[in-house]
Amino acid sequence: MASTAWPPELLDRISRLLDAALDQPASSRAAWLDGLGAENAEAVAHVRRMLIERAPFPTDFLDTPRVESVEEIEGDCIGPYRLLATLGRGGMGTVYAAERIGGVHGHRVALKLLRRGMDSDEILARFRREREILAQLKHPHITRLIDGGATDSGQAWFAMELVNGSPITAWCDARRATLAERVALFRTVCEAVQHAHRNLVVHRDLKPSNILVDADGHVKLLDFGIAKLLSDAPEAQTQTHLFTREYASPEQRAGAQITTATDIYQCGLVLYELLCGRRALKGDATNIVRLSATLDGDDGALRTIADARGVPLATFRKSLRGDLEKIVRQSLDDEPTRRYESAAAFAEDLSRWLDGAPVRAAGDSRRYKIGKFLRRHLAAAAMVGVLVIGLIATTVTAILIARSEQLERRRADAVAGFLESLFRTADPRVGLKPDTRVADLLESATVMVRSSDALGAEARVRLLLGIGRSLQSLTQYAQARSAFLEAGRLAQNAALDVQRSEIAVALAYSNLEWGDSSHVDADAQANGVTDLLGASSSLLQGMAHTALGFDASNQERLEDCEMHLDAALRSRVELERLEPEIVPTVLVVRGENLTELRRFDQASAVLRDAVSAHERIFGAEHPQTLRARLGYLDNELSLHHLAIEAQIVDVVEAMRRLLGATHHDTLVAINLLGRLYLAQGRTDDALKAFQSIPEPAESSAGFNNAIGYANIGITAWRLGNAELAEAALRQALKSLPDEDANSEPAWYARAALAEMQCSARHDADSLAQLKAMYAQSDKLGDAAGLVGLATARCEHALKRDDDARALLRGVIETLRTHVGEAHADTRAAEELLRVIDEPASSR
Amino acid sequence: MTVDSTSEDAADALWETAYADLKAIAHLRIRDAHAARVIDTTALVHESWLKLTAVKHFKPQNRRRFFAYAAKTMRSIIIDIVKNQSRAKRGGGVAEVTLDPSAALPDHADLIAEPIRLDEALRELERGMPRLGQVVEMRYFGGLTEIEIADVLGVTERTVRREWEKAQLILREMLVD
Repeated sequence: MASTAWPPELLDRISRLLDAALDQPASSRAAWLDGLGAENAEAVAHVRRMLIERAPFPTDFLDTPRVESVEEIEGDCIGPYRLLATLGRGGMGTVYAAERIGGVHGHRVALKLLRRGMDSDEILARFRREREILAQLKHPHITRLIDGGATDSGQAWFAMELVNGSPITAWCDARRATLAERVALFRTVCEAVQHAHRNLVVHRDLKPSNILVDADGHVKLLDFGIAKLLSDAPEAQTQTHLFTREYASPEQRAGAQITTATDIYQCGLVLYELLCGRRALKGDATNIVRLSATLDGDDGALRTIADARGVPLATFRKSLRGDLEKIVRQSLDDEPTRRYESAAAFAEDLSRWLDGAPVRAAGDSRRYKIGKFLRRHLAAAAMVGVLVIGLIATTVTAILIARSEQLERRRADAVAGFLESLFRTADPRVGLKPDTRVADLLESATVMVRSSDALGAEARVRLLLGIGRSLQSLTQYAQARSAFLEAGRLAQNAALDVQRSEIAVALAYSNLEWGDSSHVDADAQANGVTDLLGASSSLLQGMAHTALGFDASNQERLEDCEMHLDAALRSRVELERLEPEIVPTVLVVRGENLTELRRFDQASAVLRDAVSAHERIFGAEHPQTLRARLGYLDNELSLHHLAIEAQIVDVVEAMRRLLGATHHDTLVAINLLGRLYLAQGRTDDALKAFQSIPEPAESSAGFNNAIGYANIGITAWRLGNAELAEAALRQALKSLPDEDANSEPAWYARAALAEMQCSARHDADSLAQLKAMYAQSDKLGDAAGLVGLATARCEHALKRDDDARALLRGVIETLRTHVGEAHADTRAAEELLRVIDEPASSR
Repeated sequence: MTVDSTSEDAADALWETAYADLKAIAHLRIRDAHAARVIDTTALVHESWLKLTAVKHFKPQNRRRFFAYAAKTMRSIIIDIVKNQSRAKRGGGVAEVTLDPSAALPDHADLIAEPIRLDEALRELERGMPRLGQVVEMRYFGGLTEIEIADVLGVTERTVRREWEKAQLILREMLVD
């Protein structure tokens, strides 16, 4: 802005014009300005821009959000509270120490006054709706939300329990707390977070300044529920950055769904900082600095931290490596579903570390098979899908009942509200696992239904039944039983006989599965429906086998899984009648399991059945159906059926449309396409497919990324692009977590690198490496064939054709078994054998 | 008006104390909050006022003058702080931004981050239209309400609103140019 641009005369003219223009209705201002003569053209042009071209004017321009109204300070009162002192302030407003007028003297609260400009009406409406849930958040380590309201000038305020303490990081540093003390303290944080999650409250803004420790060493978490009240206001929905940048999860930065996993991530960031004295996220960076990188970093800075804690630098470094590092890494996975599934699991792992027991994060229980890049545990995802679909169906039924009985709209709204509050925190489509989070959710749902007097008896019975079934599928039998019993009592009081029988069946089944026979008789007797059990036994058995089969699948007990699901499908007709959504899931889990068991032919039939069952129940264009098709096609490739390109492309396209181009399932489908091209020998197309899978973020290095890189590397090498191949293969090895050093992608990458070296230098060293690898072929899985082929090629390059020939016969056999006769690798091995034999005979 | 005109009942020493207090509190708050982008002028001014009335026995009639004076003072303090911070920031990290939806609005955030540009624009506005400048100073830097500004300037609230509207339009035009 040039200083000469706004001489006082011009400003004066503009001001006069504005006075005249602002006196007119907005609609006639343009015409009025047009009607002005040529004099003052510059001023008129400015005014036209101000009022017409740049309209609408942002109403909050210069209306500094931090500016609060004066009244409450003048009178020193907000609502029923008298302000005592200012405690602090942030972007959302100011926090005061306050005292209730007429209350017990000396009993202080923290009063948060939101700044002007927030949509107070909406926030307060939400507060009133959530009040009951927030009131349930009674926990010694969570500050209670006591009250809320609005000032005369319309600013919202909340009164909370007042804590005198310092941020957890500062508290620990001030006391030179040991690592174990820090971990133990932080475990308490996780337990408090778990309690909140069980009550359907996600924090969303966990950071050291919200985790205080008082003089007695008690942890207190502040502001639970507040971020949600604020960020769900319509005003905030258009503003996606409602978070603290340095403690923001990837999904918050991306504006994606916030779940309990967001809190896990933020807990991870706090733990990180607590352990090594540095923040994981620096400034505007979105990638966390890996703990190991921090530990490898600047000696001087680290030494300062180690000195402050009174430990030698080497000890400090060593104590943070290994299990603690893995725990931090697991909590900070970019992919929400791969973090600890609950704060309780996080806390458990910390306990294990404190006890010196092996931590769970160290062993990757969520292992993906080679070639199944980013493959989600289908059984788990599908099962939650069933749970949620079941619950939604139940709730919708409840709404329909409410309508048909012509009850007040209020009741239907109550049902909808219940559903909303249940699922706001956990969206099944983001791939929730059937873990404690869901169980907790359902358990609190029981409490909510119990206290929802607005619902009619029938609606409550339906909901409790649905909740009970879901709990039971999660093997939470005790809770399931109490939900069923509750439903039974309600049904009895309301004389809902049909529902009573249904409850009796469900209860009996649940008890059966539980294996607690003491309940079976008592419950059956109490409900007076012993005879129903005999009649429904096939159904009950079907459901029991389903549950046991899913359980076995989740624990990767492949044979058990097959046995139970096979048995479950014997009750298919009954299952389809009572639980129609469960059958497609049983089929797909069984089929995938058969693929894992390498019983591909059988898997093919089951998966084909699964696809058509999905199509019947969900329709062709449904994510579940597409996943089933993907499972089928994957198995087809294992059967060495190579004419499935059009079908895979179709799935890829549909997934892109339905789930988005970067959704995991879409990427899995693209990867399958790449694998098909590779098998067909269409190496160029394969490379294109693999490369179209987005380059993974540096921070999320891991097994799946390694597979992605290995695929690109192997493909590029086949195309003769040594430079790309080498870079990708090295990246693959670098991405692999230590515990996966001997996994299939590692073998692929090492073999390809050694082959490249052999081809470039013809050295004996690379051959020795390859031979050593191939010697362990029984441990290489599907990689054995490729390692053998690479070894044979190297022998050939070193002119040791006799050795190559001897080797190739076995290699071809291996390849035929693992990847099939038509696979490009098998054909390449056969071709190599021909090349070796031909010159020998013509020579 | 007002701000610089001397009044018999106000001892210079008291104003000096007020200035020192405002400055001290402002620095303290800004350091504490790590929220360099958000300087809560209203609270600063009021906190300082509460402190003065509690300790220094300011009389209520001083309040009007105090707020006018405080607005001007806050302006210079804030500009000083922001200048210092932008110097520091070039060498150091980025200031933490707390849960603040306003920070997500790009042009708004720019203005918050750039009180210096606003100050420059305001100077220019003051040369031609002093009263518009005062309104902005009191409202933006001092955090005063329209009622309070009307009181200080001895005009109606309606006038303050109109002046504020015009000042906003003109400043925005100056800043987006």
